[in-house]
Amino acid sequence: METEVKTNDGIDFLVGVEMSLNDILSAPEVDPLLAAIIKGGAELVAITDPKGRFLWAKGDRNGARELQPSVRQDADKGRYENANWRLWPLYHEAEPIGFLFILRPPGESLCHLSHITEMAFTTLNLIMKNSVKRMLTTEVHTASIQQSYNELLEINKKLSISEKKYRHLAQTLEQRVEERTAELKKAHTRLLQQEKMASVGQLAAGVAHEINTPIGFIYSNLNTLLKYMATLIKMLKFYKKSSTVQTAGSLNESEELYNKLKIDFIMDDSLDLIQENIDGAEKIKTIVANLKDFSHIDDVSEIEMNINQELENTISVLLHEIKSRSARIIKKFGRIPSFKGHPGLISQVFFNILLNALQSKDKDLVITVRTEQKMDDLVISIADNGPGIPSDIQGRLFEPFFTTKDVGQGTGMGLSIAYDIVSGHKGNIKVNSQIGEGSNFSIILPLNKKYSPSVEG
Amino acid sequence: MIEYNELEQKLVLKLVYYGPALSGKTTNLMQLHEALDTKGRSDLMVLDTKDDRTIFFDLLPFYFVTPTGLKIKVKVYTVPGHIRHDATRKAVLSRADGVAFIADSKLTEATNNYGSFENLEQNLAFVGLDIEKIPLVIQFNKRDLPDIVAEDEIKKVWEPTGIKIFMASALHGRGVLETFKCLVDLTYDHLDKRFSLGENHELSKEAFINNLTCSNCAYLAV
Repeated sequence: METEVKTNDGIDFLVGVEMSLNDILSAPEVDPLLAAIIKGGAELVAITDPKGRFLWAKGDRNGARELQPSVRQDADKGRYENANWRLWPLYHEAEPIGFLFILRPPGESLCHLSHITEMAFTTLNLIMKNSVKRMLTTEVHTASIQQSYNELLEINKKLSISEKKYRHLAQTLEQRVEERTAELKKAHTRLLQQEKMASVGQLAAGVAHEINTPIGFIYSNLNTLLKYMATLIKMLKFYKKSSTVQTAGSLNESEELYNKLKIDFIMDDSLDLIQENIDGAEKIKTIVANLKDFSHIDDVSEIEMNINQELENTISVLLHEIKSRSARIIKKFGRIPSFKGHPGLISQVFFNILLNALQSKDKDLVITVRTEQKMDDLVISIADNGPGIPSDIQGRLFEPFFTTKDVGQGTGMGLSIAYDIVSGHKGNIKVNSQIGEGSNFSIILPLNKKYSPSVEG
Repeated sequence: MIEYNELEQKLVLKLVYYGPALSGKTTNLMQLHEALDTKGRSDLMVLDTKDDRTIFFDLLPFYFVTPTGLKIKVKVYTVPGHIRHDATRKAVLSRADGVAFIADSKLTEATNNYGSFENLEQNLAFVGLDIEKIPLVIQFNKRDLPDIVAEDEIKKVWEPTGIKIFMASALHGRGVLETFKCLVDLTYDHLDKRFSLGENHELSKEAFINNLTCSNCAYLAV
């Protein structure tokens, strides 16, 4: 009870504050009553505070502002009337809070005034009672409304905080939905691209298969033809030699024709021609075989594969590109265990990265392809001595559709697809590149896919 | 307390009758009003509403002057029991000098009693009063009704707390004055510590209690 209850605004929610007569009554309520008493014949009528000071007065008071000391003395002794005046004590909550004072005109009796003053006193008490009741009601109302208001303010504060939170959530939600949508869109395009690549591979494999049979018999027939040709040349040489010995005089005619037809040259050249054809056919055979291996069109499930062999295949498919750019490929293949995965997809990773490396520089391009085992990971690094990748775009390399090539030159999908494939094998691709010093792409493939790859700098 | 005016030598105290709706708080005050001498107390002010319950509150003021001239006013309030008038309860409870908790003895009211008492604890804390320190008495009202909580049970629960318990039937005037006397008694002790009423104002505890409870009729005789 020693603590005062203050709200934040300093408003005191207290029921029961003390009231004085001044608080309870007001001039508009009192004046008509006092006027009526004067009209009834009183010389002076006043309502005073407990100490006898006039609060409201009517009639002839001769400048007086309070009760005469004699009257007060009488009142203190409990005498409330004499022949000239009468006091009516006013109570509020059992406490005397003032008086109604009536002074009779000189020489007149108070008697005839008593009825009207009695009525006025009763009325005054009634007014006070109602006023107090109204004030108490107002007091409680105000107190509880102020309190409810403050509570509402508090609730409002909390609500706006949570509203802010939810709005933020809604905003980020929208953003997240956008992000996810974009991601889905990208994934969809990537799938389309992969499908396209797959069908290109399928086509290549089909063509390779179709070429394989004719090139087979062309190669085999050419070998036989070479043998036949050699036999024919042997026979022709023998005929020429024996005819020269037997018919010495009449030689000229056949010799003339022999020289004219340049049989010696034909014999030499036809063997070379056939040999060249054989070499060409062999090359076609290798290309076709590589193409078929590269596309791995028949492998849908994961199989054990030789990464070094896959790299060889990929490099041969790119041989034309390598030769046309006079690029040098340095292979530093280590002794590595076989890797279980999708050979077709893995080859595509190598293909995409190698192709990028090949396109990095026009002259004096050197690409170093290295394979090694580091702990439980296979690390395949493809390094070029190209111009390097600016650091500000290194982070975006694996974004779908990100490309530095001219419009129409690149899809921007190559590295993105490579990244997806390697991720699909629980692996990772690291880029190390500095301007002017070339780029090094490290493909890390975990041998035990249960664990994420340990990447070493 | 509501007010202590040293200049005017006036002390205004507040006692609050707390409890669940319809537990008989107003009946207690009405009986006190009936039983006590009109000298020194005012009329009971009832601010009631159409639905029979005390929407706002009741007020029974007492007034007396000590031999040294200290004017003491004691305002006894009831709070609205209904749950939705919590703001009013807080305002009435603020700066209280003592609390009488009027519980309903009916078995069906156990939950309401508990809820209201918990509310009292909360609101006392809200207005900065310590339930451990404030003078507090508990009255189990409506002992005249059937299906009520057994007295033994009540005692078993409340006696260990040290809070004074009273059995009452306010409607028949039983236990009302005892409850009030005990509350006034405890309140005097509390005030005496702070104002040395006995020493400085020649107001003994007996005089204090008598001034507030002078009954000259046999109406409330137990």
